Amino acid sequence: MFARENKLTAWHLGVAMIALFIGGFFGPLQKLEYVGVNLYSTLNKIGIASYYQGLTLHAVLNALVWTTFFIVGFFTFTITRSLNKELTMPKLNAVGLITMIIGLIMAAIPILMNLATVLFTFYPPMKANPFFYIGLVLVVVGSWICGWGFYLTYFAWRKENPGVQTPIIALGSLITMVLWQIATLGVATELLVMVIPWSFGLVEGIDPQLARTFFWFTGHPLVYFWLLPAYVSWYGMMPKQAGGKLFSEPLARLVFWLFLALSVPVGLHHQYLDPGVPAGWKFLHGLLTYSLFLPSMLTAFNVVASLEIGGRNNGGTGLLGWVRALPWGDPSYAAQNLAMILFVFGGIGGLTNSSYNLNLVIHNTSWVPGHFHLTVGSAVTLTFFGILYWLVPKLSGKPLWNRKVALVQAWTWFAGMLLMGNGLHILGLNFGVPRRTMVGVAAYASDAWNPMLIEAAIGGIILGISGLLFYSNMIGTVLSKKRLEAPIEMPVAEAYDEHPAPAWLDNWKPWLAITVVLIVVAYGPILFDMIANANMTSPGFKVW
Amino acid sequence: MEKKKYKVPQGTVAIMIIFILLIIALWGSAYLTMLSRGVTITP
Repeated sequence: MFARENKLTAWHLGVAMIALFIGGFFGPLQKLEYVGVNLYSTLNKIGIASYYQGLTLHAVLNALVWTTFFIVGFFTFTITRSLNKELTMPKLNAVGLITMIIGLIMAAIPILMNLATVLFTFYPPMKANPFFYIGLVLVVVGSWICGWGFYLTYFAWRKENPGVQTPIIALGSLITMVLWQIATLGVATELLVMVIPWSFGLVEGIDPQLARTFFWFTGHPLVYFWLLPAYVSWYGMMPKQAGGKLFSEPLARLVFWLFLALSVPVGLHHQYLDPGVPAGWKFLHGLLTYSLFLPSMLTAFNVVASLEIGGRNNGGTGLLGWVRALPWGDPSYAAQNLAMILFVFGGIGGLTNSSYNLNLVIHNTSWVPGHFHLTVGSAVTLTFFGILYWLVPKLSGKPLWNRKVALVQAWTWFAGMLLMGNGLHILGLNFGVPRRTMVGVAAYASDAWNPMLIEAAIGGIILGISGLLFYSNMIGTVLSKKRLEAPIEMPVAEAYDEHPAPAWLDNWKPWLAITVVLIVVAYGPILFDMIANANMTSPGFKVW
Repeated sequence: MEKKKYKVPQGTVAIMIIFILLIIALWGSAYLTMLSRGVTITP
């Protein structure tokens, strides 16, 4: 049972890890450039033309490809195992995977040929080769197809199990997939209706403001598409790994529904600096952004309480003595717990970003990459590493190559990210050091920046070493000749309270209705106005 | 079914208090840094 699902999962994870390896390679180079070590001239020989081409590879492969492939693969595993049901149409999911891979290759070729050095946000009027955009569309469409395969499986399970509550791991995974499919309608519209016809020369101009608005319709919920799979593990699996139980399952369900409803209608807080967006709409989106604080804090409480149960079950006593009794020697657990700690700082930075006047100060500075390296680069990626420390042995049937190396990897990632994150935040906030910029050659660079540039560079180098440790373990595991002595099963946390959650927390209709209403209220009038007054006049620019 | 008695997760409550204080401190620090860098006054 589950042989096809395992194979599909392994393919997704394999592509994800290859993408992260290539994309991650450029990370330490960027930080070395900060301190005057410019290795890009060397990379010219292998076809990397500039810092900005490397930055595009880093961002697209890490933030879009690593995450999307990992998440779809992980959900292929979690949904089928949690429902204890094989995919009803595995060929559909295979078609989805193939579509994603074709899209990835199609998008990667223009980037590698320096025809799409438009960074992760690909803001018009920067204009890339059309196949870059088509490739991105195919990656997204492929992930949708995989999502449809999940829904069909869920519908079939529901028919066979009337009245049975959806297991929390499957529910969280499915909600995340629905969130993704709603959210990506924005970027799909931007690419299909505006950018691709423009990049082919079928229309002369584009409206950058409207394109950015469609982008950020997707861009903020994208953060939760990255984050919620980590929550699936934190809620559904980690309490079991810690020896505890999920403190409140109903609260966990509520959190996933709240993220579905609240993630999308907040995108304009990424456009506080856009002059074409009226202040009233920025205010509304700012308010809605703060509403995301609620499910975030509920998660902090519920997950820590679940771990406290584990720590106390393991013999921990006192107010905080149970923390030491958590299974810190298990690399899968340690990586995820360290990811949570880093996310504390990422979350606080997020609150700052959504504060209007503070955002105006830090928006175009290195504060922002500092922030998202603590979220997607830490809370998400380090959690995914922790998951892979049990999932790759599970799929390969081989024990993890070296647990100590895995532990060192988790801790070095933690330390490296703390240093780099701190350096980038301070550089942005205190000195206004710009992001998306080759700082090492900037004529306006100040000596006062040096201590934090050095700190960020040390952090980047440690992260590079940590990345190599991760890959040595993954390759060592897959190539190992040892076999598992006992099969590994997906860790599934039991609920602390065996009472079932209220029925309204297992009912899609009201939550989907609330989601649609909030999106219509928050985006309907402003999008209608922007579309009615669209200025499709800007030509394309190749600035690289 | 008899309702289960929850033990108050006291350690978690302590950690949440620390977390909230950290939010106030770090957000406040960013805010004060912003002010220290000067403000724009519209006449």
